[in-house]
Amino acid sequence: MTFRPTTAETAVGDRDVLQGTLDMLILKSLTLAPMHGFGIAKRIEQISRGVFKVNPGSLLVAFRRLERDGLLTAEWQETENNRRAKYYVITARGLKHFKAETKDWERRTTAVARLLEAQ
Amino acid sequence: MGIVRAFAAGLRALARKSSNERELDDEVHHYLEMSAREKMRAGMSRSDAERAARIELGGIDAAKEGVRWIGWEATVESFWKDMQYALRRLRHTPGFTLVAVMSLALGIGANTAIFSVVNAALIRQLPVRDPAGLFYVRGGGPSQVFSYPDFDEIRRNNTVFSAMTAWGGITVSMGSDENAALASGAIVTGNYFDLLGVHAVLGRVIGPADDVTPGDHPVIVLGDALWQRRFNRDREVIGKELMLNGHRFTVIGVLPPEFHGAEQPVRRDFFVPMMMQSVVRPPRAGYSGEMSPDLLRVRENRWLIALARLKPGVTPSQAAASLVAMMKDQQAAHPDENRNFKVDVAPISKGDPRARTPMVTAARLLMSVVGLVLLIACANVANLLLARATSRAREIAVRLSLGASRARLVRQLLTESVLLSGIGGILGLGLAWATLNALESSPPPVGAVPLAFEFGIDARVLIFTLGLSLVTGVIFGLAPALRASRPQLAPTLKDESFVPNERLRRLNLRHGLVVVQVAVSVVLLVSAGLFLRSLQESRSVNPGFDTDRVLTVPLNINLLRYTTAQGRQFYRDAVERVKTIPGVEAASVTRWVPLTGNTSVRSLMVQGGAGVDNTTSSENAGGRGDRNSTIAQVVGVGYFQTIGIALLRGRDFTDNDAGDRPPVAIVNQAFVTQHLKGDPMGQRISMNGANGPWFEIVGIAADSKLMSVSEAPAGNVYLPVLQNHETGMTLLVRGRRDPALLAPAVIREVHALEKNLPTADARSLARLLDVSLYASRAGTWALTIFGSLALFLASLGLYGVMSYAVARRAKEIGLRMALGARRADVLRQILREGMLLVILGVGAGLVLAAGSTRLLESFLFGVSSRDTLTFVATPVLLASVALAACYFPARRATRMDPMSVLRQQ
Repeated sequence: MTFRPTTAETAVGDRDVLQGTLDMLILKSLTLAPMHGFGIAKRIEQISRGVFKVNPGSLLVAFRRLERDGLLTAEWQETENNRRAKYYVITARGLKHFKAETKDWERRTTAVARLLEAQ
Repeated sequence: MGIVRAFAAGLRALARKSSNERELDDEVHHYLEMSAREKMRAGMSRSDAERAARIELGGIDAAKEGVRWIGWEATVESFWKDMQYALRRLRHTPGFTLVAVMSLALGIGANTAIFSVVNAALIRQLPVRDPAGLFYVRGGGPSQVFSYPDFDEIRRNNTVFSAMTAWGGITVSMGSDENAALASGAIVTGNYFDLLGVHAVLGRVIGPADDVTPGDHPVIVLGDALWQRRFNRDREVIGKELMLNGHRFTVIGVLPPEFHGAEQPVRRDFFVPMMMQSVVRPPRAGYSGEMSPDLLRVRENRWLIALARLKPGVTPSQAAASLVAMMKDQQAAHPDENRNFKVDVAPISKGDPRARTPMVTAARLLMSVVGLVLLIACANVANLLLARATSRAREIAVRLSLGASRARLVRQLLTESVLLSGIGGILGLGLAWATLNALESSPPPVGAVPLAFEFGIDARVLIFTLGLSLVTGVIFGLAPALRASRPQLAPTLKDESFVPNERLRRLNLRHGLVVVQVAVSVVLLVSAGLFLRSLQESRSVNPGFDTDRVLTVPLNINLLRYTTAQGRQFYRDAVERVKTIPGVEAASVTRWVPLTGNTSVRSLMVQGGAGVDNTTSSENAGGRGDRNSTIAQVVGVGYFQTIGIALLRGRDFTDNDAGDRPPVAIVNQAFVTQHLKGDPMGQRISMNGANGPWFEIVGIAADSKLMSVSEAPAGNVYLPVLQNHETGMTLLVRGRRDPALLAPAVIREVHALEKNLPTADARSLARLLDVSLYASRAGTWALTIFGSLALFLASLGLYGVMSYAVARRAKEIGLRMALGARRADVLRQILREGMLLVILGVGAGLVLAAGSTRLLESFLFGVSSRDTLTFVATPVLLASVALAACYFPARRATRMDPMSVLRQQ
């Protein structure tokens, strides 16, 4: 029984994956609505159609770091099935950071794409 | 993230630690539950789903640990926890802690103390503005100093310096009447203080205006020590007058306490302007009293040390090249005086090589010695830690198998060793401080060490000790930590501590450490032994004269500018007056007091014998007695009786041997053997070539030591002062009892003759010899102390290793005894194993010592660097101590009750 990502998937949060990718994916998920940890993990897997598989340990570490940096806040809310869960909310600062990162990301990917297309 | 924000977040996290923990716990469990529920929806059973979710997470505690490590506060906290843990462990093993901390405190303390001395002597920067921009300008002759005209020319015409100053050292008679005392100062150019950027704490310093017209500004700036000594820190001192060589000077300022002049570590107590040279700078010995050469004009007389600041963009070598080119023309103008003019520009940090080289040598020796002592201490603690690591192998194995990372364990073990060395360092600092205080409160006799140090523990010493403690802690802690964090898990967990085959047969790391300790101790002990032997040697030699009944009083009349006739009269009067003091048996004068390191060597011709027609005369020369030269001593009437040298034949000098009478000489026995044939009495010798004057030998004296107690008898000619006037004579007074008791009366009589003569240096001959042996004695004591320290630490280490080995083998020994082994056999076996290490160490140490003691040869006194006695006695001493260190653990082993040992565990 293995839960390691297959070759088609990329484990996000492992060290060899682009630094900051996980942060961006978390922030992106939260731009839509506040979510709890497992929800975010599921969301990332769904949006990426299973390409990104999230390592829960790394996810928790990332939450704590982003929270400390003031990009996220957290609040305890009732879940749909009446359990208390920690919901993460993106802050104004976090939104700004996300936009800047997105722009930067686009610029870089375009550049890489151009390089790859060049003859 | 800003530092402030991170700091605040960390503090917040610490404050809300328990609620954070709870939230983290809730969050992790919620996550697992959600994850499991989803897997159940996909068709897994509940237990499978929960297990899968947990594996995905990688373990609840591991996940939490990852989160906890976010932020600086976690690192600090874990460090703090390690510290607490280490402290607790150290408290639980007080014996180990005591031995380790004591070893380290002694090692670090010795290093700190020696480093403070080296720091004060060699490292501490001059307390001046921008010391790195200061350069010595050295040139002209072997002593690398300048005459005033040469200096003045360079200062005026150079294109490479933004400023240049010079000074000469002077010794003056300060004050008058009873208060007259010698003081050492400097005579400086007007820009000296400006160039150095040194300001007065009271009044003003010497400025260019004080240094324009010769003899015009009799002003003096006091150093802190002199201000304290003569004026008791009187703040109204400015404008007061002070007599220098009988001339009135006005005090214009007081300097800050840290400034003693620009040639560290030489200490100058006062400063006067260059233009006052004719008053304060006495004519040199060799000029007679009535001549007063104007040093501002004389080009042959080199006496100035020069210092400069370079113009921006000029390198020292460029500056030197430019000066040499410039002086080419000057050389052409004065070909005789300035042959081979050389100049060199060197940073001040390199110091004045004449003062520095011997100190650097001594500093290196002492630093290596204390470094070795620390090495032994480190080996001790490393050994103890290795022993402990083995005994806690189980604990470590458990933690490793529970998932603690090796790095984390190593860090924790290192925390413990650094904590140990930290405590050792603090205690060592205390030890060093106490030692330095003791040293400062019993300073060397005046004249033994010309330098005044303020040892003192400054920031640099503190950093040194801190760094040393840290490095020490890591060095002795790293190997044990690495070793301990890599146990063989399976056997350790199964508690297979009963390993009957473990013996000292294989040399492992711990045994290696003991061998190194013993070897290093041998080297240190042999060195200490050699120094002790040489000290003993120098003490047991009979110098050939009485040391304990003679008082010496230097009569430096060349400070007083007497004429030759006045000087001759003064010496005669002084001796006559002193003889009238009750308790005085005899009195005389001599140019050089024996065994104080000075003598005169003169060329020699024997009438009708061999000889050369050249004239050499030099003071302070070490050379002696080849066929054409001899030591010559100028002495007064009654010298032999006063100092206690027997006259074997002929007569002493008398008052009749005056300038207008035929020249006479007395020679010693060695001179007769070396230079004369036939009956020596009545033969004639010349010190000045074939033209004479010719001295008739009228007496033969017994041999005595002159330069050092270890010398072979050397030929020596005594000449009467009445026929060979010299200005720097020393009065010798022979008393019936302790000569020091006579000092006040003698000084009173001398002052009655000349109130401006400084007589602060009145001392018994024995005391004077103590002074001349002080440096070698101090060195011997230091080495002996460090050698004993090394022996003590090494024995401690050996004892520790043997105790541990015995404890480890308690079961085996118990079993053997139970099976009927004899106590003596067991004892012998354990001793044999311990002594094997000692013998290996001693062997290695002797080889090392034989190689390294040659470096000590120049410090030794009448003892070879391969002295057999030392090389035999030291290993025997060390082996005996080591035997004791092995014996006690071994005896304990054989006293154990076999049954109770076997029942344990």
